[in-house]
Amino acid sequence: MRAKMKVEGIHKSIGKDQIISDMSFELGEGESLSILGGSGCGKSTTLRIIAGLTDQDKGSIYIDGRKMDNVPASKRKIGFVFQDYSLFPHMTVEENIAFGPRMMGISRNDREKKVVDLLGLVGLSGYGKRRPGQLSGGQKQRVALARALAIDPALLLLDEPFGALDARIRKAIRRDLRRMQRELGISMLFVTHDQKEAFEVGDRIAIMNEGRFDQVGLPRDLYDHPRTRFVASFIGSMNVITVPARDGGPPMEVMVRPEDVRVLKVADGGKGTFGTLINYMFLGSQIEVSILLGNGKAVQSLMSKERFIMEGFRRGDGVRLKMRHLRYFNGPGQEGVDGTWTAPEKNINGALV
Amino acid sequence: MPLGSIVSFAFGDGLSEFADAVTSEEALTAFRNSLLIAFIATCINLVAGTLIAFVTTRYSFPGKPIFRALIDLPIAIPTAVVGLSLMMLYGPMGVLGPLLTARGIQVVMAIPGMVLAHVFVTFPFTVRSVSVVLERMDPTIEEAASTLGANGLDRFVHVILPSIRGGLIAGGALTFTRSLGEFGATLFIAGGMVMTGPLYIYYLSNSEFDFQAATSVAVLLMVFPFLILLLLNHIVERMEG
Repeated sequence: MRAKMKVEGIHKSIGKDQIISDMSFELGEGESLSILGGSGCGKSTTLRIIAGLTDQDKGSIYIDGRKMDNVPASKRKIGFVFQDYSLFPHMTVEENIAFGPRMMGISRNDREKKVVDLLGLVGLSGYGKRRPGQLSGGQKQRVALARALAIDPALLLLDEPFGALDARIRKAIRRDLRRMQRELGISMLFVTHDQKEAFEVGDRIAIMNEGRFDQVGLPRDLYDHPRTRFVASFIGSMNVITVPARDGGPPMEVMVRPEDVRVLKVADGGKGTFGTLINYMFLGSQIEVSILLGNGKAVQSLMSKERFIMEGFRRGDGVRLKMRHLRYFNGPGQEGVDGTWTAPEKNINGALV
Repeated sequence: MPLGSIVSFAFGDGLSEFADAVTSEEALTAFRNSLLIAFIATCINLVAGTLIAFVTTRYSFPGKPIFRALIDLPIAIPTAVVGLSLMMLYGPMGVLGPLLTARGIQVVMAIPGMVLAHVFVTFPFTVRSVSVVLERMDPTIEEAASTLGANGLDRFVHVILPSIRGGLIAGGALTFTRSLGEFGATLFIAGGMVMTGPLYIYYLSNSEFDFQAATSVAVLLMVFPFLILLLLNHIVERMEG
């Protein structure tokens, strides 16, 4: 895939806080990349730097191979959608959408045609004469999207665009956004703190943590092969268990997904980790079971509803756990070797009881 | 009560007496001067006030709190002090007065000096009302305009100006009506050479002892600004609704 945009070695500090540290990545032509991270991780600042709304301390942005560092925001042709819509309150919907083309000197006839097309695209035909104050949140964000698309942007950036909307509307507009992005073949960066949203909108996902990308990959890669402890715990849920190292070194933490923890009745005999079933919760087709281990910590496990009923699990049952796909991350925090590791069962057992 | 007594006095001798009093040569000259001075002072303050409001809300600089207090100062100091200080600066005995007079520029005891006094006295109004709106403005709206290709001038004309027009109208209305009624500083600067509405009332009641004429002019100076404020309030409400 040809690179539409390239970010190279971006640094940004505000006061003493390092907001972005040495960030580099590429966005393909027509690709949608979701940037997923908690609040304050620097994801909004990343978008603002790309759009030219905030200056970086170091590093460069390239769009279509052209260096953007000295190009002002007004000349970058980057569509930006803000979380709080940021529509012009004194203009009608039509005037809002036509604003960009008007600034770029496009003729009135072409502007009007564009407005009609875009209103249709975002599903708001007939709303052109209204003012932003007369629209719902979802409608406002659709107008903001149409307004950003009206400049035929080289790139579309969306900063938590659906954060202020309720769940049902968010889902519908998210799907529409994805459809539009594919239809128009536009390259897009989408910032969110919602994992589901990131997976639905992005071809690839970048997990951002403390001013850098921990991992960029397909949703499945992130889930099955997290490269850092942060990614492992941020995507899906994870149990963290302390076990002794294989060669008798200091104890280490391993992580295991709930679906990789199999709960067996003690009566079945055999080796494994022992604990007590203390709680269970219906999630629909699956049941989440909480097991209290000998060391006082609880582990979550997922099992099918059928199996839960057939085996006749109850609160207070003594159970044995079999775990697979245990992961450990060497060293403090992000650094070190990552991988999948299956500990000998007796080791885990010994550590936990 | 006091306002009512003025009205009853003004119309006490009948409607035609009232009409005569407010359409006399001198009254018309006074009104014309008042309107002219108020108009010029308002124009100057709308531009200068918006500029100052912009600088004080958008930028931080050393001594900003002091600067802000200085802007409000004209409200606090007696208007007579304003008149006196302008007289001392531009008057025949002042620093700049003789220099300007030598070049044929008459400041005091003429319209320019009175405009100057009114600009000073009414200066805080526009600054204040525009600052309030600017502080409330969502900064991302301007950023959105930038990403859509608007340069600094475009943003000012198409985004900022429409957003602050309520503040401009309010500030302009206050400046204009306050200027129409300004008396203290005007009295000093006019030096008996230029007549304005309030000065004319003073002249009629204190030199001519024609209270019927004085109250008639007073009624007009009371009703006219009221109508202006009423109209502008209506406009602002329509704009926001």
